[in-house]
Amino acid sequence: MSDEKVSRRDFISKTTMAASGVVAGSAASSVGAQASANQAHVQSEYALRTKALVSVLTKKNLINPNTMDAIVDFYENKVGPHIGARMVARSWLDADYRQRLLDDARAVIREEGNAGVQGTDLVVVENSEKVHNLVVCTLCSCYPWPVLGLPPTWYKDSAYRAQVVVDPRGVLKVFGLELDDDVEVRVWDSTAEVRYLVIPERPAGTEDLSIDALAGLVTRDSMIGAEKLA
Amino acid sequence: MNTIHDLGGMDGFTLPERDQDFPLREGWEKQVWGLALAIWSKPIPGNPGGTRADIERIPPALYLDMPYYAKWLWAEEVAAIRGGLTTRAELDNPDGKLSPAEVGNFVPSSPLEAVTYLQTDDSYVVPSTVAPRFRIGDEVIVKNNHPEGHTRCPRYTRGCRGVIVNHHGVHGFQDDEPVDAGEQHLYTVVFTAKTLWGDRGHENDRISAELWEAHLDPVVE
Repeated sequence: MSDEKVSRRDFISKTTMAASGVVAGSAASSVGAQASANQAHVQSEYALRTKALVSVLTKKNLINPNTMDAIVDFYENKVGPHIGARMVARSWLDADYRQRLLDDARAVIREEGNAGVQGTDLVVVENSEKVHNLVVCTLCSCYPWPVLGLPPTWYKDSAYRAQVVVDPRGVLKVFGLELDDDVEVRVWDSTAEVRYLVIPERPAGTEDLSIDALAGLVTRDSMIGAEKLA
Repeated sequence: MNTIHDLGGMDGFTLPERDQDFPLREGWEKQVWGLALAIWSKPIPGNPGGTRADIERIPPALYLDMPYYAKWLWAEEVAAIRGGLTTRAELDNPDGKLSPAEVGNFVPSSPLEAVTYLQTDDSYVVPSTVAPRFRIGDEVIVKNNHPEGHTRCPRYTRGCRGVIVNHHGVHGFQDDEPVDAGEQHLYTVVFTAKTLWGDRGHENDRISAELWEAHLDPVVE
């Protein structure tokens, strides 16, 4: 318990130092080692600190806790990859729609009422037998929230961000996809406010499926380019 | 700033399993997320919320060890303290006496206001009559600058030659410098893997990044 208190103070004091422009490099390694040593302990640390910040801001009437819940509910239950999946399924069935997505995805999502925070400036790219597209944000975690929801943890992981620009084929191999040498790999690093959605290849043997059934086949990860659909 | 957040091209990491669950798993992660977006939806006077630059200033060893949403928590704490909404002492003892924040008649974002905000058209395109310096197909070289402040130009592209394949119009410029950059056209620049990584690059791989005009020089031959 006393350890917990100390490390919490330690973190907050470094936060304050960072806020005033001072980098607390030497103190960081001890906190880092502690984090590795006891993840559960660290989770409770973050929970405590979050509770403190939310409590203070709520008591000062700077934040409405019901609003926080509504925001989480929005991303958990309203928007998500099902929106992108339907766009992909329609693009498989309707060549004109597919071309409009490739030409001006922003106009299409506006028309469909799917513009939104972190995703209005959308660009859609398509996979084929000869081209495989893959999306990353090496600097942070940019991702098209309105059409795919919140980014998965692996997408935000340091390893993916570090490796996918230098060795995309190696990353895909770990993910279970081996590409032939003659396939062109295009990695899109989202370094501004442009967001990307990949149209995966339509799986064979799906000619008779409805749009709903097709949308059901489209995985979130396939729309990032991390897998092919079987 | 050349810190650990600028990860592109580094070796030594181990890829995780691809998780399939809703990414906000812990209760505190949901709270951090809800708090950050509530502030985005209606900024508190003096505190527009944590920024990417706040996260980039996390000491590197800590950055690599922190769960993703702990970085957002860090940024929200920094922003709240910087904005004068709270103090370290208050966050350390949230059940103690709290000083009121100087925010006038501020009323926090309601659930309806927030959810409406999340569905707003947030295009970053700025109307402009300034002519673009480059066109699709132009060859460019990324300036080899290493600013101390925030930049969206990843290190692995600097000094490298690429081709403009998309022009996005004028987008708000996000780097700290140059502060007088004015209206900046944004482009997608494609590089061959060989250009970026030498022998290690695969001959059929292409990597692109979005870069503003201020990041780019024309190729002069």
